[in-house]
Amino acid sequence: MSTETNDHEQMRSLAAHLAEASASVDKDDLSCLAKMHGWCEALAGLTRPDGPCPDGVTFEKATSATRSLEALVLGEAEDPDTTLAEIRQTIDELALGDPPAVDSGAAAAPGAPPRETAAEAPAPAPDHSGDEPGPAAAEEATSAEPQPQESAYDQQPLVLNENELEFVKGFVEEASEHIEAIECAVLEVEQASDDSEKINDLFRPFHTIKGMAGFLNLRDINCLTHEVETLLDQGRRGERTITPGLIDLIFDVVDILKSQVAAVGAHLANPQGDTVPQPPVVEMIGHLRAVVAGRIELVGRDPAQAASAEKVGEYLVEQGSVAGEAVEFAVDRQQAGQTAKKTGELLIEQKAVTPRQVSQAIRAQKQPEKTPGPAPTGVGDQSVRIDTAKLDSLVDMVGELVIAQTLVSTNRAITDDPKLNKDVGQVTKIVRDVQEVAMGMRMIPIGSTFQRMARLVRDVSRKAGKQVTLHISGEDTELDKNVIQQIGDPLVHMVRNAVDHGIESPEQRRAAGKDPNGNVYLSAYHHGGNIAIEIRDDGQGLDRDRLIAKAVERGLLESGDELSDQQAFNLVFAAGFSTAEQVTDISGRGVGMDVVKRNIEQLRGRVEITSEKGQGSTFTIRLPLTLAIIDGMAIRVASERFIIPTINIEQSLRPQRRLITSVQHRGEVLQVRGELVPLVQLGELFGVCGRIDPCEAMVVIAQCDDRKIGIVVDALIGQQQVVIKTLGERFKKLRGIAGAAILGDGRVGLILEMLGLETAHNTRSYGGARGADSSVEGAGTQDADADCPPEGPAAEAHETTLEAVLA
Amino acid sequence: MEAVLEKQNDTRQPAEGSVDLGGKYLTFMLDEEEYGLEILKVREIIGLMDITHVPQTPDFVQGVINLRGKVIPVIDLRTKFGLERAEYNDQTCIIVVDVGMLMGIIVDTVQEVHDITAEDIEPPPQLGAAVDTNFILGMGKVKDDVKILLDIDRVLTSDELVELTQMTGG
Repeated sequence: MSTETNDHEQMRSLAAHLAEASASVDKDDLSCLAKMHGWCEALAGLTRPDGPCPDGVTFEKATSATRSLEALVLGEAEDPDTTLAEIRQTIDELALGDPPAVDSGAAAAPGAPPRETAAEAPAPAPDHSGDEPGPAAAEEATSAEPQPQESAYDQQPLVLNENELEFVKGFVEEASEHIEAIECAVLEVEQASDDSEKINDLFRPFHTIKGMAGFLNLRDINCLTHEVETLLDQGRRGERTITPGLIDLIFDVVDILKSQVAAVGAHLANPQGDTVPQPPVVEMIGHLRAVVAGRIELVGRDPAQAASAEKVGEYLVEQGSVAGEAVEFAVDRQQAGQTAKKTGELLIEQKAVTPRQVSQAIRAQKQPEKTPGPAPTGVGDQSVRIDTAKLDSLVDMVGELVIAQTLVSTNRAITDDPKLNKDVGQVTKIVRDVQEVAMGMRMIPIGSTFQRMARLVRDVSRKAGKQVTLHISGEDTELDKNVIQQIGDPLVHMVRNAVDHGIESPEQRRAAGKDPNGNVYLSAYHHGGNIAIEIRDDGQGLDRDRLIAKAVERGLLESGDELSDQQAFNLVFAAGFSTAEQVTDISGRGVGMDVVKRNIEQLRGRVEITSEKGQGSTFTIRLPLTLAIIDGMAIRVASERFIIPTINIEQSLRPQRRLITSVQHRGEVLQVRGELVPLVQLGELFGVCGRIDPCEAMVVIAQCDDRKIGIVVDALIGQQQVVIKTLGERFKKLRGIAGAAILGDGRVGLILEMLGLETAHNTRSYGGARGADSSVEGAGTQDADADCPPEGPAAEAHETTLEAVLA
Repeated sequence: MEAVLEKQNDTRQPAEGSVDLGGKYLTFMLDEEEYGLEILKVREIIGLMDITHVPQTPDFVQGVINLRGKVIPVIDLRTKFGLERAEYNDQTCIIVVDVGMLMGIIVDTVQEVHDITAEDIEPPPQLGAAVDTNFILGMGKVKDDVKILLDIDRVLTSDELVELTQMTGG
């Protein structure tokens, strides 16, 4: 990516910028001078002896110009006009690429007697590691303004360039991914803090974000990432040890980055006004710079403590150079908009400090600022981004292909021709392979979601004062992208619960004779055509009695004596249920688990809990491999076919008459292994036919939450995998129907949804249905016989049934 | 021809009496009445195929069909208009129209495509309270015949397809 040409181009453009600016700059125009200072620094960085384009002459010139500019900005130059003139000359020489006239260093010398500036001020980018700056870093130097020298970072309104909206959108997407990568990498770095390879892994995403942000002129993000880069670079070169405090800091930055990226994303989706709302970054950048400069010792700290901003003024106060009030006064004036001058200048004006003190402060602040990082090395080259809509339509078409293929291969003409038969068989095989590949394209490993949990466990356990280790396994298990996206939040809840409620405090653990360090195990694995995700902790476990007591107290239960363990545990999923004695900042408000359950059910999965008091608990989420296909049992009711998701089916049977109890001739229950299961007359409920005698037909016992229902059907057709199609917005309110599926013969079958079916069954009135029975029967027969849409009288009957059923 | 069609139609807002309604219309029969449908709304015409009933829907929703992998709802236009239902036969067609989403409408027979100029289109007449003229763009005169030009968007999107009131009323 980064080539020499690129760097040379960069140099040329920097020189051109400088020349242009120097022609018009005035000695009092601080911001322009500051800009030029930044360019000179960048130029020096590029040309320094160990830089990408070593060029001693240019390097010296740039360095000297940098110093002179510095002196000028700080008001240290004895004769600003002369200094400026000299700077101009130096810059002109740079732009022309002329060989040095005489001693280039001398150009700056007379005007800016360097005093400590020359002697102490470090060269702009001295002996920083030899990693070549990627174009991104270089871009940063031109597009993002170098920091004005003395104030804290100055956040400016962000206006997106109309023409770049597409890029920005891409950036938001990519940045989110990189941020995720950062979070994983941070944790790895924490564990192996002396492994520079790991630090590199962490460095890279920051660098990429920085480059992209610089390119798109997202200054806040650019600047934040830049500072972190500097920090990491120090770490990489062994100048800084990676302490937990540093890790905390990086996490804080990541959080700000997230909110920044999210703000940009939100603005793109729903622009309000011209400027993008920006979460504050000034404090953080100030803090980062202070850390970079080594002025703040990082210690592991309570995350609640906000990062304190270190500004020039504060630094001066700290050093005892100036009284706090003077700084406050200056800052007040700045904020009141009375002056555009910087804190340092104001303080000098007030004679509160000497320029020298300010310059020291500033130098201390910005010293290790420029640190070009390595170019990202081909990460992501192995993948192509595709719009999911395209993937979906591919999957759709492959589905159609399979159906068409089935039609061809079942054609009778094939059997007559052995050659054709063989060829069609071959095609069939290929089509199946294509289908598999198409389906597989949506699958991604769950690893990155798990990694997010690592961060969560770390944060929550620290906050709660617990020692918890997260063990992850099965991160290569692949799941549909949609499932992965939607499983994130439920997982967060459950992992948080495990740490916050499950694991005891170290003291309690010690008292219970356990290792004070708690463990949370997060694993994913295949299990019988499903994916299981398991969250296990070795904490205190669920307290059955307390759960029941709480439920009774809340009025959710009368008494919990006859509850099975499973049922008792399931109480945690009831809305508003919490056994935490104290609502903490992390969890315990009782919202969450019900949402978790709902989310998982939306994904057609379910949650199981096992727990042993004192030993810990295990939450197991079972999910289908993909949302696009389900395993279903095709059933027939009169002439209509429906699909019951296999995951819901317990068993199917033809009941004996003695096991069926009719209630007031309006409802029926069936005894299945001692359990009473209400029977749902699907045909009647959906108005396709009348009552079917269960003893002559089949009953499918289906799981519906923790209850069961028996669905009376005419026949089971067989189990098959079906591609789910949505019925669209306009059928969204249908109850008991989850969607449609295209069956093997090309017809549409409706997929049943148990919960909705149960609700429909419970709300229907059997009283009215009896009168309509006879006409319904007729309609059903006619339907079945004609096997075509009902017409005339049949349609009326159809309507009557509907009304009767639904009234 | 396509170009001409577009030119004629692209300036027109649907269902506004004041705008130019001239253009090509696909005409079809429904219980011996002739109706017209803006041709740009028509995706394709298919013969009757297996329709899967969907429960909890009003009676004019005939069900859903598989249109090459897409599941789309099908409306029986006779029932929708309160006309008498008829036996489906080999003349019966499903016209697939695009009203923001694809939908099929069942009609007795498809006739032909007429080019009807704006001058030949009269505003919907007052037909008394019994007839909902909201669905009608205008009356198109073709030679001696009069075709009822439908505002198909209104016909198909004015109703909820799921009878929610009936469900919750129970």
